Formats: sequence, C-alpha cells, structure tokens
Amino acid sequence: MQNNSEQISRYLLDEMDAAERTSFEMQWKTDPELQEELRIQQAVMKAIENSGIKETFSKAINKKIIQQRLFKWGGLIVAGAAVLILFTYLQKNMSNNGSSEIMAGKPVSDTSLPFVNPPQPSINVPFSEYRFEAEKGETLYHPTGSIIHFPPSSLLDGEGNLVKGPVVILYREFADPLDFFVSGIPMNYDSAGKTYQLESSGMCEILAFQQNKPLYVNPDAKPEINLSGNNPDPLHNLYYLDTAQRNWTYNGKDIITQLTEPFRPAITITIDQADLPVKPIKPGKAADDRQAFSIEVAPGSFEELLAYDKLKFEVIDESNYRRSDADEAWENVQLEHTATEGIYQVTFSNLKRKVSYKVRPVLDGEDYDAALQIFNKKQEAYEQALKKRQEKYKLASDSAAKLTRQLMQQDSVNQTWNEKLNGLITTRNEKLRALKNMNISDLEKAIAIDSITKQDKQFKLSKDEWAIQIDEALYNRVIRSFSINRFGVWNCDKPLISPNNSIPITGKYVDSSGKDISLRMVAVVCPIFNSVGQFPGQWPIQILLGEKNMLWSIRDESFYYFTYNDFDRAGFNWNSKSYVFNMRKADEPIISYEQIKRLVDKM
Amino acid sequence: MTDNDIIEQLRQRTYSSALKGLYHVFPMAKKYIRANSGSGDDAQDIFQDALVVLCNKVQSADFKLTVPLKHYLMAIVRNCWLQELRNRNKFPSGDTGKEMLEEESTAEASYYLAKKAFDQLGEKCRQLLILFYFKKEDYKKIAHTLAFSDDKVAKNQKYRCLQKAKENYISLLKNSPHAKQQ
Repeated sequence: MQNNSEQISRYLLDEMDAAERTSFEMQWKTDPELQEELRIQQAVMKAIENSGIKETFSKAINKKIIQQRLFKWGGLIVAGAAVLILFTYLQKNMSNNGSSEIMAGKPVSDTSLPFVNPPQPSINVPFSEYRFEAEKGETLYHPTGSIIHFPPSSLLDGEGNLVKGPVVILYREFADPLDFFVSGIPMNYDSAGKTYQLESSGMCEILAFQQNKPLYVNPDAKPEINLSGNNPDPLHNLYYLDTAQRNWTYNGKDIITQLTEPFRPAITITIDQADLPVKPIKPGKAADDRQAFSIEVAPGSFEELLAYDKLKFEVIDESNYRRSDADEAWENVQLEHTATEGIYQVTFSNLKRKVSYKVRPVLDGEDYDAALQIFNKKQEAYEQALKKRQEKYKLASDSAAKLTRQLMQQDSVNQTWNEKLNGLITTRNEKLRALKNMNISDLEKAIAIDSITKQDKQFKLSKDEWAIQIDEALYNRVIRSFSINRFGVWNCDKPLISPNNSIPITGKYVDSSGKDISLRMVAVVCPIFNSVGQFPGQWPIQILLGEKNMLWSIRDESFYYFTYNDFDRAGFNWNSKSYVFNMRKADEPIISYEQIKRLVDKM
Repeated sequence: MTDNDIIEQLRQRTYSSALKGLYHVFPMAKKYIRANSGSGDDAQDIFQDALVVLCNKVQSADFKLTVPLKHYLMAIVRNCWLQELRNRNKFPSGDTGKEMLEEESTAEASYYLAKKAFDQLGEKCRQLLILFYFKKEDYKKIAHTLAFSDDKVAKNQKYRCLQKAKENYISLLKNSPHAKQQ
C-alpha cells in the first residue's frame, strides 16, 4: 500500500521517467485496485492543492481589504484638504494666539518630555551593522528587502574631510505600530500651529561611524535609500526627524516604484513537440551465436521499432539466460526502454517466475539490409526535422528577444531607473534567498546586531521566524527611493486628518485590583492606520468610534494593555467623555524587543 | 485587464495578480450571501472557495467562456453557497431548492467533498501536506518548519497524513449522495 501510495504520488506529480510511467500505466490498465487508489489519491491531492490556492487567495484578499480601507481614508484626506487649507487660512488671519493649539481628535505632545521618548529605554528596535571601505562605497541589502546605496566617498568626518578606510553603518527600520511605540519616535507633526498624527509607509534610522565617531553625508555624493514596503500611496511625503527643532521637517517626495509580477516581462518560448518525428533506432545485425527471440510490440508503444519487419531482440548479457526459458509458457511480456538509447529490457512473467533481460533490436540477413535502408531514410527525415525545429526555435527566440526589448522600452518612461532598480532587486532577491537557506548561526552573523549602541542583545529570532520575515520581504511590491543629506530618522508618511468619528476620552488607568497606575505615556493603536497615537498619561486620548482600538503602555518593565475586545465591551459612544481603563498586565516583566513583539503579535 | 488576461493568469498560477481583476466581484458575492442568510465572514470564505473552483475549471483543456467572467464567477459563488447551506442542513427542501442549483454544481460538490476530507485532518497534517504537495518543499525543510526530529519522520508523517485523508475521503464518498458521480 505504501509503495502504491508513493508510486501514485510520483505519477501524479509527473516525477516518473518515461519507462517508469509506461510500466505504471500498463499496470494501471489491468489493476482495478490501483485504478481506484489512483482516483482517490488524485482527489485528495487536488484538495491539498486547492487548500494551498485558497490560502494564497485568502492572503491576497485580506491585503486588498486593508488597502481599500487605507484608500478610503486617503480619499477622506483629499476631500478634507480643501477644508483644511481654508481653515488654516482663517485661523492665521483671525487668531492672534500663535501658541500651539491642540485640535480635537489629534494626538498630543508634551514639550516637557524628551522628544524621542522610548517608554522603556532598554527595549528598542535593534540596529543591524554593516561595514565597508568609505572610499569604495557599498550597496547594503537589508533583510527587510530594502537596499541602501553608498556611492564612493559619500562620507565626511566632523571637520568636513572625505573619510577613507573602514566605516560602520547602523541601520534599522520601524515597520509597524509596535516599532513606533518602543522607539518612542514621535508620530506627531506640527504644521501651522496644528498637530497631526503621521501615518508611515516606511521609516528608517541610519547612522555612520568611524572609530565610534559620528560621520556626515557628503553633499556631492549622497547615499540613497530604497525602502521596501507595500504601501504605494502617492500622498505620502518624505520627512526627516529634526530632534533639535523637535519636529519632522518636510523633504519633498520620494520616488515610488511598484514592482509588478513578474518584475521584468518574461517571454517563454514553447516549441510544439509534435513537429518532430520519433528518433529512429538503428537496428543491429543478428549474430549467429547469440540468443534472440521475437515478441509482438503493441501498436503505439514503441514507435521507433514499428517500421522494422521481422524484428528480433538479442540478449546482450547471456549470463542469466536459461535455454529452458524459451520453452516456458509466459503469461505476461513487458518491454521497456532503458537509460541507454537502443537498449531495452524485456520481462517475462507467469505465476511462478519472472525473468528480465537487457536486449537490443536485431534483424537477420536480408531483413537487416531492408531495415537499414528504412533506418537511413528515417534518420535523414529526422535530422531534417530537427534542423527545421532548431531554425524555428532560433526564429522564435530572436523574435522573443526583440519583443522583450520592445516591452522593456515601452514598460517605463524612465528606462534607466528601471534597469538600475531591476539589477538591484535581482541581486537583493538572490541575497535574501541565500539568507533564507543559511543555518541560524551563519544567518545571525550575516545580520549582525550592532556593536556600537549594543541595543537589545537578547533579540533573537528562530530560523522559521527569519524565513517568514524574508518571505515577506520578497513579497513586498513597493520601493520608495530617496537620497539623504544627513544621518538620522527618515520617514515616508502623510499627516492624517482627524476622522470625524474620533472622540477624546479622559482616562483613568487601574490594574486588576482596581489600584490606580500612573502611566507616563499611553499609546493608542488603530489597525486601519500604520501609526500610533502617543499621549501623556494625564492627557485625554483620542479613539475612533466604530473602529478597533487598543491601548499599550509600559511602566517599570510591566507591559499594560487594553485589547480590541476590551474596547468593544466598554461600549464607547458619542456621549462618552471619561472612562476607567482596567488595564491587563503581561505575565512577566518585559525586558526585550523580541518578547514584546511576540506578545503583541498574538493580540 | 480582460477576461482572457485573467484566465491566463489563473492558468499561470499567478493568483494574486489574477485577483486584481476579479476582486470587483467580491461586493456582489457579499451582497448575495448576506441576502441569503450568510455573514460577511461566510462571504469571504465562499468567495475564496469560488475562486479555487474557477482555477480548477480554467485549467481544464475544454474550458470555454461563453459569458462574461464576472457572471461566471458569480454563478460559482451561488453554487458554492448553496452547497455550503446544504452542508449546514439549511438548504431549502423540495423542488425550489433543486431548481436553485445550476448546471455545473457537480464540480462544486466534488470540490467540497475532497475539501472536507482534507479539512478533517489535524492542523499539523494539513500544513505538512500543503508544504509538501503545494509548496513543493523537501522533507528536510518541512521537518524544520514543523519541528519533526528529522526528514525521515517528516516523510513517515506525510505518508500517514495522506493515508488518513484518503480514508476520510472514502468514508465521505460512501455517505455522499454524489457517490455515483465521483
């Protein structure tokens, strides 16, 4: 049964060679049990394939639903923009009060707190460390799929001199609300006296050092960052986090490149096999002193032999041949190809015995001469057909190459840019796949955690978790490219206009025993935005009615949270003003990024 | 994207790209299922099932599209949903129910039967079979992913899971009204 099951699998997966397949099909024709088993296994394997397809569709649909929601909010923002401009204009002209006003429905900032303010400084998004020679430049391939290009001599020291020799680059990305939360990077943007919450489509921090001294960007050879992600929203801008001015500074737009599948137009050439006749087999001349026998070859089974009349099969190795075999009554005869062209295997069997011989097709005297003539004719026809086919293939591949070139030219108005990115993406994908195949210790060495800030040394992912991350990186379909003129935090994002279902809630935070817990900062997460609202504990928070909301906070290594379901149960409505949040507390102290990431992933 | 483009993408198994051209049918499917005692989650599940059935149909050599693809997909959605209602014993009884079934319902019934046999397996078994047969991963990698001690164990487990799925299928087939059609 197990043999059958394996054999059927191989048959259905098309893993059998021609001989094995023929043999299997012959057995199938006469074996009703095998026929039944094949039918059942075929149905089950189809169900497995269908489940795999369904899983793929499910992921794609979920992604589409999220994109639609984002798009919906994007539309609201466009619609809101005109109102915003008018409102800003009126406010500028009508108000003498220049101080920063907190708009209802906006996240807030407290200037008495540090600008970048991690809720627990010992936990942060880890940096990766890269090293290269400054004068040569380097292209760095980050495991998230992002590509950072340093042209030669792109770094200056504190005195403005070109840096030579080994340099260290620290690089990290902030991908999701948890990363924004633990990093303490403000997701607020002050503009014209208003505070807006920023939604990110890609954020990173990049730093450069030589012998632990910070380095600066050479304005004549700026490094270029190609952030990998999935949000193609063109409304996003590029911002730099100016920690001295305590604000994000606008730096124009990034270049958005959407990768399509397949990324480069691929043209495959299929040549019809039917125009090539079966390759003829040259028959041998029967030797007088060797054993030979005749068998009937079933029509359609061995086309290369059918042209020869009075064909015999001569035993190649007579050591296992018994003369008495010729007299035995055999019930089944099976002829099969072997790996050697022109050599066959014949198997005779009956209820008692089964014998196999390696044989070659031969003919006697005049029959041989006639067969040779047939062979020569067929060989000539075969060679001509082969030549014709090769010419046809060349013609097809030439026109495919031409068409590919044309498609490439039509593909984009910015051919140079695409070519460049194509090359980078191809190399990146090769590197990511190689990374995925590494064992865990080599992988950890390849993605070195930084030796300068020594953050979060306990950050460790399993091989499977890395594999998932790398798969996600390969699946990413958007590249946001921009040059940087200084090192620090760069963010592709857009200010969110306060949705009209946003309400302020003054919160009191208590633990499971009802005891008041004074939280320094409270983060509000709403999954329809890739952002996090950050609020000082004593200030009102903003939540969205009708959407999922969640709260996070950390105090003294304790992680407090209020789940989506908790929010549902709380039943907020338009009249809600204040609420006592009975915060849940993680079972164990939170001491690493990895620990909090695993915890939040389960929420 | 034309209907032919979408069909070609389904044949090439570039499912995510094909979905871009088919996703607009989802709101219609949702509306239909909600109007026929289903939920939003049911709609998403049935729409995915219908896409799988469509994939199977377009792979067939004699597949010929005679109506716009969105109408064709909606017909599959309706059949899948009626099949699901039947599985939940909520299918309208009597002739009215029979009339509701459209011509090509056998494919959906067969799809559901094999699906059910597969779904009756444990999560690990399902994952193992998908990794091996759909994602074409080798035993070594599967052993690592599913925490088996080595590739031989993964291979043995795969054999057992496949056998179990076959047993489930045989048992369901015996009790199925479609048994004769299988």
